[in-house]
Amino acid sequence: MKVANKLLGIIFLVSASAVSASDVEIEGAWVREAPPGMQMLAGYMVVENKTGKDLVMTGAESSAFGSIELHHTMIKDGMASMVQQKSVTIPAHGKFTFEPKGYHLMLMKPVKDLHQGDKVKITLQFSNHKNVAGSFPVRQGDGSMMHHHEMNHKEMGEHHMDHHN
Amino acid sequence: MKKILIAIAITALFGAGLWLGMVQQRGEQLEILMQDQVVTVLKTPKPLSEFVLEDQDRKKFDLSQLRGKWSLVFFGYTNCPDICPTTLAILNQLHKELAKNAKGTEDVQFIFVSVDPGRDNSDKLKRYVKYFNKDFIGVTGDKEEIAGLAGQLGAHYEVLEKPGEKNYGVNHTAAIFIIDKKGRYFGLMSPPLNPSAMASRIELIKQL
Repeated sequence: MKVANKLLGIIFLVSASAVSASDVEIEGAWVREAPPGMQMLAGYMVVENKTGKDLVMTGAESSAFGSIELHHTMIKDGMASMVQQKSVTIPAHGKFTFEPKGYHLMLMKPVKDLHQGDKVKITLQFSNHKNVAGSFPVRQGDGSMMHHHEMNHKEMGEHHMDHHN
Repeated sequence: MKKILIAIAITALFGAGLWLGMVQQRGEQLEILMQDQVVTVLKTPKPLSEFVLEDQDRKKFDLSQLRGKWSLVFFGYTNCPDICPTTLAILNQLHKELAKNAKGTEDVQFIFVSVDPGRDNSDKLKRYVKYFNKDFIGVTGDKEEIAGLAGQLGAHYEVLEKPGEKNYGVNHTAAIFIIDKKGRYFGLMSPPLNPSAMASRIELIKQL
């Protein structure tokens, strides 16, 4: 058993080192400034997966909001609806876009009103990858806000390797 | 990458289906005359019947408020984090585009109708619509009255209210309805909404 655990530890270390500092990047992140007192905001970004495996994003968290859900706005037969997503898959060596009228982070119960110029930290959670945190500047959406190339990613470096022995 | 492509294909498919569906469905009842990718105009404008709602200053908002100006009407709710603020930001852009013209926006009004009176009241609507543009009007009211106005425009919505639950969604039509100066249903604009394209169509329509 001890040998097996040690082997497991080595495998973890190897996989941890294979996961370099920038294997998942958050680009163009922003949170839409909301009218005063609103309890429901949206966050957008492009998540780039530089690894060789599909990554399953299962949620997000932030101390700036009560809770966060993944949603997809769909327009079908002229009706717009928001459909909660249990997860989204960022393909290997691919990107996944969260943008207005599409996929978005639904940011609920902000702890305070957020204004253009503020920044919030949001941590993305994956079922098969460590957390990835990004800095999301708050700005006003003007209807032509899709291409805002701002690189702001930061790896959390919280890779739990629980192999006691 | 493959998934993104599939998503784009599905969106395109829905887009096409939506457009054809709208033309056929409304064609039977309302006869569509002019239709491009931006605006659909009814062959015969449809007079609206009376309704009574309340604006952001708690003043009565009824059919008479829709007379004397062109009205652009959008149905939504303030707890909507994505499509409603996106659309209102686009309408603000449209407002700016129209303001560049000689007559400006003096004969056009923008009206946001909340279909979620359970959570939206006049005060909240005031903070909401004025954030996007000081000239925007926000109205809501009794469920029956909202349904009455929406029904006359063929605007669909569905409040997914759950007892004791404050966090619920609302499905609503994504189109913007055009009402002429005589208070008649004149046409509609469907997504994708492009402010400058919409502005040029509205300027054209105003000449009719």
